[in-house]
Amino acid sequence: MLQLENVSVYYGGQMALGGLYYNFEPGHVYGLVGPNGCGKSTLMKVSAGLLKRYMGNAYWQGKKIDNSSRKSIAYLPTNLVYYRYMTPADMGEFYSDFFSDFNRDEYRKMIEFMGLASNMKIGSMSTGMIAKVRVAATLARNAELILLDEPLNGIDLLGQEQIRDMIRSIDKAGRIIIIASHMFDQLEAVCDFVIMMDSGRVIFHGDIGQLRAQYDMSVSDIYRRIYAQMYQAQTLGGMMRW
Amino acid sequence: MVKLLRNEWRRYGVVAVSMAVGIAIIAVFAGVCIMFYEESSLLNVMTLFSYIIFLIIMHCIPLAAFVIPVISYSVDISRRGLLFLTPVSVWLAIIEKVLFGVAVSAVLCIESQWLTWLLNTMAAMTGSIQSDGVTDIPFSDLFSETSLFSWSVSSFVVSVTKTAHSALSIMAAIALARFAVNNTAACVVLSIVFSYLLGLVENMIFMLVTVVTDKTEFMYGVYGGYLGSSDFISTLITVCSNIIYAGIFYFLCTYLTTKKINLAY
Repeated sequence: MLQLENVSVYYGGQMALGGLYYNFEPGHVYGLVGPNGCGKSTLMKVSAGLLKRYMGNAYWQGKKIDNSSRKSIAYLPTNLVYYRYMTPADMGEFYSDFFSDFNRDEYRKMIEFMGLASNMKIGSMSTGMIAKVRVAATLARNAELILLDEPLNGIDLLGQEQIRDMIRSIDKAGRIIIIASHMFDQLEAVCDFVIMMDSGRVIFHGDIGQLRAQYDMSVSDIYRRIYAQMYQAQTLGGMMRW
Repeated sequence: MVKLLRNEWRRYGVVAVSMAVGIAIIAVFAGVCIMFYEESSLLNVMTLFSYIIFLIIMHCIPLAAFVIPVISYSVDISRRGLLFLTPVSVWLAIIEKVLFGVAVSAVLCIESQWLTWLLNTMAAMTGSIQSDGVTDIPFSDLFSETSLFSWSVSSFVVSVTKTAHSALSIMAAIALARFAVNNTAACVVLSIVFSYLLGLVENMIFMLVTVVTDKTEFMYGVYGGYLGSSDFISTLITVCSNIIYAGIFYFLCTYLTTKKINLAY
């Protein structure tokens, strides 16, 4: 289980996460949504053990998250460029060198599935192609916690479908998958739970199946309504103060 | 460790080989000037000039190998890096980076010394440098086996330990800067300031120790030691201080990277 207890993060006095509590249970896919700067990526970085300066506690499998936690955590950062001299084949070698749970055959299959050349240098690839390599390398790990930060960024429609299929094909038993994305309507079908965030806080969360049944609309539409109402209220409040 | 070194070789092997080739090209240039030495003043000046350039560069390039671990570290703590996203111990990753830089420095140092010896032999045979009394390099002394050997060893050890020391001092400065600010541009400026300050503190400690122990003569010897002085005590002090400072900076840099710095930022 991934536990976040009263986690707060500040960047130069600016709050990115404000006293966040959340327990992520194994066997589920969580969708993390919210506007830019709401704290999604920061939550992912805390969970991946990359942020060292934060308040509160983050536990993975009952232990405080540290460098060694990365043995069982696969993290796909938003904007990692990767070493430009590498080819997808080199990436596979790098991952199998440093991650004992990396499945090289699976990775090779994913690279082929996405139509990428394994001998092309990362430096000469397009943004979308690099994004596909990153997703393949992350998903080819047999990790217990998979953190995907904007996995569909810069990827064409067909590629997005391929990635959705790859996420769907992951055996979820005993695993937690957390996906942060602006394109939640593309990922709603693969998620079990949705967590909506704003200004570093969880403002709404729930089981996607139950929410759909309860409100008779997609979670993406619920998301649009919630944020529309929230911003309307903020604007009105602002105008009244003025 | 082997995997880490292999990874480093893949990343910076080309840079290391380019440095080695650069030294060889300069040596060939100096050698050609010596071979075609004539009594004309222009060639005489060119020969001396190329020889001096070679001597300077052969001392600088092995020391410049410290740049490799510094670049490698600064890339890895940024969002461009992958290594610190792996479960590899930071302590091991940093020591591996420094070891790679030290190995490159050692190879370049040996190459430089061997080429210098070769050029010295050529120069002595041609008589190009000594004959006009342009320089006072005592070739006869240099060829005496003991002095050449001790000079080579001291220069090698000083160069290699200085590489580790310089690399770790700048890496510690970068780590301190990253600890203080998250902004990339401010971090670069602050890294330079911190490197300067760390160097200043080192010099102050050294001067304090030499004054307190009344051994001010070592002050010159130790700085001479950087250029391969054969004075045993000076070399020993230089090497020891390099190792001690490298250890302190290694601890500081690794501690900050493990506990205090936000990675992939």
